[in-house]
Amino acid sequence: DPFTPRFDPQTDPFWDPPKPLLQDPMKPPGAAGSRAMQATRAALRRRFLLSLAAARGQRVTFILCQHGRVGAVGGNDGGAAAAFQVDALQTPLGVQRAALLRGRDVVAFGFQVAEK
Amino acid sequence: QKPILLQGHERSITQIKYNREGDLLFTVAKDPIVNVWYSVNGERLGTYNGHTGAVWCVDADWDTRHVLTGSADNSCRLWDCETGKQLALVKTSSAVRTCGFDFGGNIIMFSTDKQMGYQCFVSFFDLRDPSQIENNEPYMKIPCSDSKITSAVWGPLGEFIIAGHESGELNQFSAKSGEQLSNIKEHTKQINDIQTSRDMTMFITASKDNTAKLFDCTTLEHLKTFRTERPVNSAALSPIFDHVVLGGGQEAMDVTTTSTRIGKFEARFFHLAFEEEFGRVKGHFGPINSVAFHPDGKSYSSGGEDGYVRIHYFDPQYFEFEFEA
Repeated sequence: DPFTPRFDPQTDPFWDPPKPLLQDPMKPPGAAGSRAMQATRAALRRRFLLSLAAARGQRVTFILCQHGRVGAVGGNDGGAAAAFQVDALQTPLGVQRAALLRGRDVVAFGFQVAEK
Repeated sequence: QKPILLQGHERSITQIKYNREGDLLFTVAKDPIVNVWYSVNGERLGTYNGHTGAVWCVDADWDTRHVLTGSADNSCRLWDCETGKQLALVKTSSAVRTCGFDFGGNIIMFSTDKQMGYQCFVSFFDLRDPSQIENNEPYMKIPCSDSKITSAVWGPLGEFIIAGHESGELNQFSAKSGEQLSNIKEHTKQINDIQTSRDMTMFITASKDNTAKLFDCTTLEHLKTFRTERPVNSAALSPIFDHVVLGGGQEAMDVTTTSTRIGKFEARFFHLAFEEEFGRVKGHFGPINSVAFHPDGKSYSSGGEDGYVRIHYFDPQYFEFEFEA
């Protein structure tokens, strides 16, 4: 196909996670529909968005896959997208003024909640 | 001045477009969300919900009453701009790649991909005759048996359309009879984007062959070439200056394998007459897929693979810039 991945509606090289080698046995098909599951997801999502908002402007430590660890300042990401926008990302190659960390690469993040 | 970041898509941006007055910016992406924003402050006005697949193209009519979108869900949809209501759905046999209103806002045209045994077509519907959309019977359908159409725009006065093909060819097709009026092949690889000048005397093409080219709308005479070292995904002409902005970049998957190209996601500004680059604006985290000048020329926007749309207002220096000959 002479069309590059840019014109393929099924793929999005920037966003798509790498294909899993094995099917996840913990994830039965079609389980996402139950009401209790949805309520749990909504509560978790809300907590996640609140934590993102609290991280804005704070020094944040990101724990990445394969034990990677980087520090940054929480950015202005609205939380809607599947990525973390950060400022002053410290990497072994230097400090990046602004950067985007893909959601799927981040295992956890932590920061000191600012005192009011 | 710091750019305004619009974050309303979770997939790569496919196209962004201002309305005629420039107060609104429409953005579409590989997700099914169609967004419209206030360009002055980046506030989201609303969304047009209905598509079920990647949306490839968007256009607004002259008085911003209607919005037109084309999608990989095999449909072209017409929306009421203000209420967000879907007014019409035209089902197609393959993905809708490019679409647009004519000058008067009465005729819509869109091209469909060559897919699964279906040919590439350009279809024309007259909105003043509701039966055409109701019965899915365009008043004209131009087949493209050779190289499929990858971008198309209306010519001045709605007399013809200008189509760019995956081969790099450009064709003029009459909007009345469908006949091929003119043909030229200056690009060597597919044409990713075509945008006309504000007065519609010229248009600029963005191509995978690493160049953008300027042409005369009526004669298709090739006027200028702007060269870069990577595919150009989109190009736009300033409405007030002799400036051109190009957006492009390597595919994201290429970036991981060729580390020397990391970070090269900039919008590039060229002087129209001298064909020379005079500025670059960094900021996107991935290749830029669509660029557009605000109709007043005082700002421009870019949409990238990273899902962000950035609105840049030019510094005072931009307006004082004098190109040294």
